[in-house]
Amino acid sequence: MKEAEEKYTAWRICCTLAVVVMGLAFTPLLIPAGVWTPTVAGMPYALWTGIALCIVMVGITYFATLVHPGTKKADRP
Amino acid sequence: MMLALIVVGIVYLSLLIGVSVWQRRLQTNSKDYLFAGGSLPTVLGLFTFAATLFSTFTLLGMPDLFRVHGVGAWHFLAVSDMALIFGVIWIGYHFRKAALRQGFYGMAGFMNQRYGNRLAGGVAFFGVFIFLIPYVAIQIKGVSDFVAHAFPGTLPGWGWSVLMVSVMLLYSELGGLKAIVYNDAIQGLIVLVVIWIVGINCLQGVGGLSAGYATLQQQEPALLSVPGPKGLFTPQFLIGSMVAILLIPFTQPQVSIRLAIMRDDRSMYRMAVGVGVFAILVILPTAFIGLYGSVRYPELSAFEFLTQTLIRDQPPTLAAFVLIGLLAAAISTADSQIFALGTELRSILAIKDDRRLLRITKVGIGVFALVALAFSIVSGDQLALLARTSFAGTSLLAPMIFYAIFGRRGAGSKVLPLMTLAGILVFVGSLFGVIGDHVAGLRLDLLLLIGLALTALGVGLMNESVAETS
Repeated sequence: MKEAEEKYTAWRICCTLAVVVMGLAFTPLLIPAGVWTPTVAGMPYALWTGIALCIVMVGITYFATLVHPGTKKADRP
Repeated sequence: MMLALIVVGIVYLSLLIGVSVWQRRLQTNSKDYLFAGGSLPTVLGLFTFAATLFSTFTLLGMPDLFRVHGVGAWHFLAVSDMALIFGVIWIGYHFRKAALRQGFYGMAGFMNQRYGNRLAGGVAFFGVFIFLIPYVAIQIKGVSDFVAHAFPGTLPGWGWSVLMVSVMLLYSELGGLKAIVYNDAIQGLIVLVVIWIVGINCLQGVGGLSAGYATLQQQEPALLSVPGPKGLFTPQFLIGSMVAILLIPFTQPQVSIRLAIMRDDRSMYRMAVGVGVFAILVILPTAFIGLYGSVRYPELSAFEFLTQTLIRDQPPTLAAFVLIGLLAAAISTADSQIFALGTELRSILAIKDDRRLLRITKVGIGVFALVALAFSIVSGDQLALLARTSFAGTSLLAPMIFYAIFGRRGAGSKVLPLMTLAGILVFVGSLFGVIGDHVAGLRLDLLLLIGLALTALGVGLMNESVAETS
């Protein structure tokens, strides 16, 4: 029971994180208009932060799959 | 070059047809044919989902978007895809729960079941038909025109279109969805390998990442940030695109059917993570190709740039693989869309005889392919932007679909389907210039989506209060 509750809390945290990260994705924080510095490996700011954001989102999604409350096998069509 | 193309082309076609014949032998009923047996494992699910999602517009449209509009193209597609994968595990779970309870035969049929009337299914079918056909058409047209341009004197653009549709129809009709799924896996791999080799060649061509972007900074610094030199990637455009892309798994039937036929929820979750990785891997090299184009060919037209970069600047054998990769990308998306339209048609027909239904579905698939072929001959060539219009159009179905997933059965009545139909017609009106595409500075598609979402919310609240009162 406690384990299920912890799993559900972790799932809610993942959902919140995903919403926050995606909410920030299109704000000037990650893609400020007309700004290309600082660069990483030569890549302009908007590009490397975009790539980093994608990697973070894949990580969040992966963790969310481990704690998803609905992990029972479902019916087939 | 021609010899390499013929050899690679024959091997590719043999693989597609061979897989179809193999799968045809394993089929025992219409469920096998239309729903691939309804039990896709993770890896197969990942490749068919990815191949269906990443189409010609990823391979041809994205490099050109990077070249002309700059690095904001990454946010336009890659970042939006991250919203999509989380949406798959969040909403996809509820979708499967609601859809598989009574047997899933297509989104339109699911709408009929949940709303308790045939209007809902009719609106869903109408929506996907009018927005998917142009999308299929631009896949076919994009690649056909490109191949005709790259190889003048072989076949005209429409000739390549006919050839592609014939191949697609042949293996789809032969082997059904299972053949499409296996062929998607083959084609997804081809696309991934080819795009990376070309991407690395392009990076070397500009002297590496740092040197390439340093050159670009001197040539056209606006390409290094948003909104880009032409001001395309505004927050409103990017958010609108993200919402439309996030909704694809539920509003575009060729994708939602792949969620429904996954073996179980766990397979779907793993598949979603895999699609996220695939998205990063397939879009990243398009940024390198775009960078190469911005530095080397800033003045060329889209087709000239793509022909030069993808074909003429590559070694002949690789160029043959590029061409096959492009055909694979177009065919793997278009076949799924056409097949899904057939499945959608079947799901709203009130016919009990399974064999007759299957026959009608097969005829339907042929007719839809011919309509798409005809449309491809007369449509424009703005690949990425036409694809976005298709996403935005089908996203108008989302409030109706989400209400069917999360609301009480039969609660939506005819109000939501009718409002959705009105929204679609208004959006189509704006595409033809009858109505403006902005209202008070806001994009019409975004406003319509918000309006329909609020309507769905209102209908939900009203039904809850009625249910509590009674």
